[in-house]
Amino acid sequence: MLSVKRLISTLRLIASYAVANTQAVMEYRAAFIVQVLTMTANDSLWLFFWWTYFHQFPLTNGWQITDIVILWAVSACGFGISAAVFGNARQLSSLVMNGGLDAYLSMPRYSLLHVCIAATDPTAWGDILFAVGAYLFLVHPNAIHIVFFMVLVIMTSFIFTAFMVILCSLAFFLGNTEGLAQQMFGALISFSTYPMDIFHGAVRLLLFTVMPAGFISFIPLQLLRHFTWPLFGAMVGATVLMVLIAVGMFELGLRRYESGNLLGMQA
Amino acid sequence: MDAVGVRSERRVMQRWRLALLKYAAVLRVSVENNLAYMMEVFFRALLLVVLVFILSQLWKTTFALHKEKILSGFSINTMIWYLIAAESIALSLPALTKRIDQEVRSGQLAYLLGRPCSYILYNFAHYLGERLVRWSMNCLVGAGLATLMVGWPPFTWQGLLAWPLVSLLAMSIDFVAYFCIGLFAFWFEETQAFSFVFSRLTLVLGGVLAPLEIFPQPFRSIALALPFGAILYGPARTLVHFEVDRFYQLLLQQILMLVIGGVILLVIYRVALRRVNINGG
Amino acid sequence: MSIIQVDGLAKTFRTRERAAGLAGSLRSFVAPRYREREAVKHISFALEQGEVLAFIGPNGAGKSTTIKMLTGILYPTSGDVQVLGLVPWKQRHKLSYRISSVFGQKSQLWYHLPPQDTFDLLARIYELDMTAYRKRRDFLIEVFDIAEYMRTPARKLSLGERMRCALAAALLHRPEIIFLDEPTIGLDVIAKQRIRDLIGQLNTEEGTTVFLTSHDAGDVEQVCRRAIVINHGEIILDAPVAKMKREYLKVKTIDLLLDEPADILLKTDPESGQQRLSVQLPSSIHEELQDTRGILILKAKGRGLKLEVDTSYCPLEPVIAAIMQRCHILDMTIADPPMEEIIASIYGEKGKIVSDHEDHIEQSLDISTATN
Repeated sequence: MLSVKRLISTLRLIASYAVANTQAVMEYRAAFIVQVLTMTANDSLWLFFWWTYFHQFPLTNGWQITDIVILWAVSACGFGISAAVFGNARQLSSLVMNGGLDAYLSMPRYSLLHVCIAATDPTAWGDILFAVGAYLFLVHPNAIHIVFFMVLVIMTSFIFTAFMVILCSLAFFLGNTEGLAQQMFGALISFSTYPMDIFHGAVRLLLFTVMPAGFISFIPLQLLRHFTWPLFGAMVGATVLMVLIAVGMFELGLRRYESGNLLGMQA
Repeated sequence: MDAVGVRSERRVMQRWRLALLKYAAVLRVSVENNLAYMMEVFFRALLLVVLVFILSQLWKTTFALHKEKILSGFSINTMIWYLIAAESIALSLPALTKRIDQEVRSGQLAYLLGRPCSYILYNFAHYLGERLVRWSMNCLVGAGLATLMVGWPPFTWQGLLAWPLVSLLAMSIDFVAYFCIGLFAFWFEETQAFSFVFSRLTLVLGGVLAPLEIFPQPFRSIALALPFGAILYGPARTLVHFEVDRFYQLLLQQILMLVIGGVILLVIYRVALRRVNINGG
Repeated sequence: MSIIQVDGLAKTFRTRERAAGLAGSLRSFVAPRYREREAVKHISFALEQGEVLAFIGPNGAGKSTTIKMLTGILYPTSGDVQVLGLVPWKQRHKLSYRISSVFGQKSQLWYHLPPQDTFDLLARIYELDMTAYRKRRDFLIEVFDIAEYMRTPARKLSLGERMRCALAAALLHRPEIIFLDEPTIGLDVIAKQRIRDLIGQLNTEEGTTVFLTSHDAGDVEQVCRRAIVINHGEIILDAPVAKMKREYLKVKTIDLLLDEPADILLKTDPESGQQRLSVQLPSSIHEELQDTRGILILKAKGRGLKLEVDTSYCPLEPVIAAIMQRCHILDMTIADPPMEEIIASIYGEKGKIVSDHEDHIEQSLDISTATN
């Protein structure tokens, strides 16, 4: 089933959608620029806070300002790519609720992928811009570092997307979970922008399992500081696992959807 | 002459009373509506738990590392309660700008103006209803969390009394700001970006991550002067660390912000209305 | 081989009953009660290639459910379906390359994109050869006359324009069957006519089979050659449209606003005491008509007059012309009987047969649920 031709066709589809969607949001040039700039400004504001924090309280374990910058850069860039390429993933729960999923089901492509790539979030570019800018100018990385950064960021974006899909797939079973999904996703983003050292014990365990914030920013940071194969393997493993869980949950929910027996749904 | 004078005075009083009842009714309906969505409000409060938890870990670590019990006048206990207080207000913000934006764009505004009801006050009552419900839930959940984490609050009765007052004023300042931004829909394609910026500035410069004392000079003075501090830092500090002269200062600052903001709001509103009258919404 | 073959298709929805209050929620969690709703009750029909079928019925009749089962989005409780030789819910992916569906107003896909981009994306989605696609696209743009909207974001287009674009988009990959769910809903008269003409053209020139659901009698009359009427999940009529028109669509209502009191046009029948229209009809029409028996007075109040004309007895124009000779008509509305009325009249006639049938089905259901 999985042939190279299929893969290329899929990649081309993703690219076409990305182009079309970005063009659509760039129609409103002024608004687009404002959105990008405000997101960049927002991220910079947080970084500013961290700078003042470190100014007063340098943290132990060798944490420096560059570490925080990398933490933020990976997280923001991963999120940005996720929201730019798979920007429609967050709509999945409302599509399930109002039956809009049908339109995707009646078309030849894999419905989950299709749903995710159908729209983009323009503010995501602000995050990407900030991430790349901060990373390049504040960290002064070398070429290998940059390549590695890109690889990690792509994996992070998959984790973000997978997490969103899992949350939205709850709509298949629990009905209107949009509020919950939003909060949980917000929590994930929050957790991923703080140094892991401040968390201990049970919470830390949580952050490497149910809420994979650890894999989004902390592990990549460790890998960028000091690469080890086992750690990289763990990163890859976590990414693949998240994606598999997301697909699994979606498929499970889809079975239910196709039976038409969704909670409160009228045919 | 006398009788007429008395009657007209009574009429004015009557009108005021009716107006008050009208907006009180809107407020009541808004509160009831939001109470119906108890689950969603509760989930939002959970986000407060997450955020405060993270921040508390950060500050606990910081306190431990620097072996200090007091940081700029805040112990870990008061710090946690401060964070809860600030987040309670911050996370209770409803999507006012979006609402106003939509009403302007869809032309609903023109339609609503036809009603015998001040658009501004109507929205204020509606906004307040939602905000109060969320704020109350946040306070409840937050208080529970803080008690679990650091024990009994360090409040004085003055602080407790002042808290609702300054919080209300803070919410009013927020209302004025976000309402104005919403009205920008008349001139800009996108207002979400502006409201987003304002909310972020409020969070960072308003001291939701830490009391403003954390900022080194000159940032500290700037932050203290800006309205953002009056929305989050001021009320939270009043609750946790009540000081009479600071309280009066805060009240003054808040009222001043409200007045200035109110004037700006009215001006923008007037201009916007003229646009409606000319273009028909 | 029929292009669509449906045998004993049935769909029953099982939803958990949600109880109010805390006690109720707990109860329904531990021992849930299910509510069953039979949306489609064992229907059978076959469609040949090139047919234009109207699938009509009131809201909740089971139209959308049936279409969803035919396109593979929903799987049935029982029965067999073959579309283009494939089982829809099992081979949906394969089927999707050869069919197309347009869901009337619910087609919110690509709301933010201009048709130009939507078309290009669809070319990628259906894996079309780019040169062939471009030729096809240009052809469709011309036929549907949408060249000027190609660069406008879909949300800025009027409903009629959007429908035309959606329809053109649905035809890019040359589907063998096209499923249209309420394609003319919400459109004005001119736009409706355009869509209907295009559908007809499509069927004639390319031989595409059209499966159309609608509420609108006009859609049925003008576009389709065969109609299946469904109500309460059952097929109550499956006949050529011509036959249906002859038997059921023959009545039209005319709503008039005159410049004089309506009474002047009426006379009271001395025998029955009923009011009758008293106008001079051309003698070329049947003698009985001088008595205007085929015309029923629905309402006569002040200057308003509502008539129901049985067009199998008497065409409309002479009636209207005759009225116009007597007084001015300020306003006039001519309407088809609403679909519900047509259904009701069909149902009424066939009602007896169907209700017997229904008892039979209910019995067999009891047996099947008992054994489950």
